[in-house]
Amino acid sequence: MDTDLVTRAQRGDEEAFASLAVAAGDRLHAVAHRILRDIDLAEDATQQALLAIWRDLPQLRDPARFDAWSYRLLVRACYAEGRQSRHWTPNMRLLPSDEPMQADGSSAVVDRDQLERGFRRLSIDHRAVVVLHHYLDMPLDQVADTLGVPAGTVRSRLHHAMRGLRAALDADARPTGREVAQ
Amino acid sequence: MSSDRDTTRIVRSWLEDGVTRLPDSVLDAVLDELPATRQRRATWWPARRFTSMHTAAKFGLAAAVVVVAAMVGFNYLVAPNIGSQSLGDSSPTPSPSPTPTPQPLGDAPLNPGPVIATGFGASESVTFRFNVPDGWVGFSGVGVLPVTGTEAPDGMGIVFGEVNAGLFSDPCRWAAGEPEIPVGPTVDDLANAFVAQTAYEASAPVEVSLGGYSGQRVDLQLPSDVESCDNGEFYPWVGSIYAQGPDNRWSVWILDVEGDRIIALASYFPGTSAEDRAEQQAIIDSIRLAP
Repeated sequence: MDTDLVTRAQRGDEEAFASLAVAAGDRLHAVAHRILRDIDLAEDATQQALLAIWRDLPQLRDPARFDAWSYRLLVRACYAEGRQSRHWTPNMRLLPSDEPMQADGSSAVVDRDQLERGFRRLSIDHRAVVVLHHYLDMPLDQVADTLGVPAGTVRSRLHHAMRGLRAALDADARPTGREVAQ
Repeated sequence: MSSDRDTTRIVRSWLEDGVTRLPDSVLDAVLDELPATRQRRATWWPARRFTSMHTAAKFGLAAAVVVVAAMVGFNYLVAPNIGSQSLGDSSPTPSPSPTPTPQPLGDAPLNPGPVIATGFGASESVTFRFNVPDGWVGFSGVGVLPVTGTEAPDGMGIVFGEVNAGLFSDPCRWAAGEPEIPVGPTVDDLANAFVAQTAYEASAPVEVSLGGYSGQRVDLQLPSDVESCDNGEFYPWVGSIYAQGPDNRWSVWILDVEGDRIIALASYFPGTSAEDRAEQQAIIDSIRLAP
């Protein structure tokens, strides 16, 4: 990130901020979409995050930390969007599939469906840790710094989240009642 | 059963799928809103935010004084005569009172007592510990201010931080440029840079010790006209405090905390009462620093 742009934007330079927003918008949106699993919610969260970045930018003490700081504001925006959408988000229960796994590679599709369901059952807190660590390849101590929580909390959330996702995949692999009967 | 490694591989692959581009319409909407979205400055909360708290705080303070006076009177005048204890009894051995845990500096009113503020200096590891009396409010990552406010004609406040990017030669026209006056890394470099600039008056540096570390103190007298400055703000350096009104006075302690140059700054006005200044100085004097 160009720290000169950050410094100029901190002083109210809208053109500098526009350049920052263009540079950061795609990566922020990609992360928001992976956390929220919904295009519309992700667009709203990214928009709110970019405005929060503009509003709070003068309070960023070290311009070199802009990237990590912007992810923190994005995750906050995702929390807000997640709360607003909670009333309609389906409360999915994890059930074994009725269809047996196919040997033609369609199991990958089933995996993805199961992962999608398993992931949606996680809280935004847990999703954010998974996405920052496994999508952005952020080390766990950096995830902790970004989210403003202790490293132990991050490790715990990641462990819990991955256990839930593994359970989702294993639920798909378990034999169905039909297979057992055969 | 999936192994942990399988799960990680599948999850990572699954996360690769998804949108990677922000629609232009969203970006346009953000940029359209910028002119109407005021940036939050890095320093003080506006004093007007505390206007509604002022009266309540005064009442709260008055009530607290009455309660404390009543307790003192009870303890000294009544309690010694209660029970079998006579005037000839030896005084009870005072039990050591536990050291209160410092409250972290947040964006909220502070309880009277110790406060801890972390993350200062270029290393972001310097810690300030200090004590506040009743009626002070925290400003996370920046400092403390009284509920009565920081602005002219009689406000005050205390800021902690650092000066890393140099000084503006014209702190009134800060919005378009970079700080033109380079400042070296030492305490003396900054003290001398304050003295050398001409946009405001600076006292000769005085050697001081504060919080267990030595350094220099420089007193700045900022100009009378700050309203006509960019955004109505007079910024001597980047990303830090701006003048809180005309004729703002800043006492700046510049300290070397094991190689990290940090500042503690007391802001006040000619109209700030002596009582308030004493309260402010007591907070400064209570500072203990740790690298």
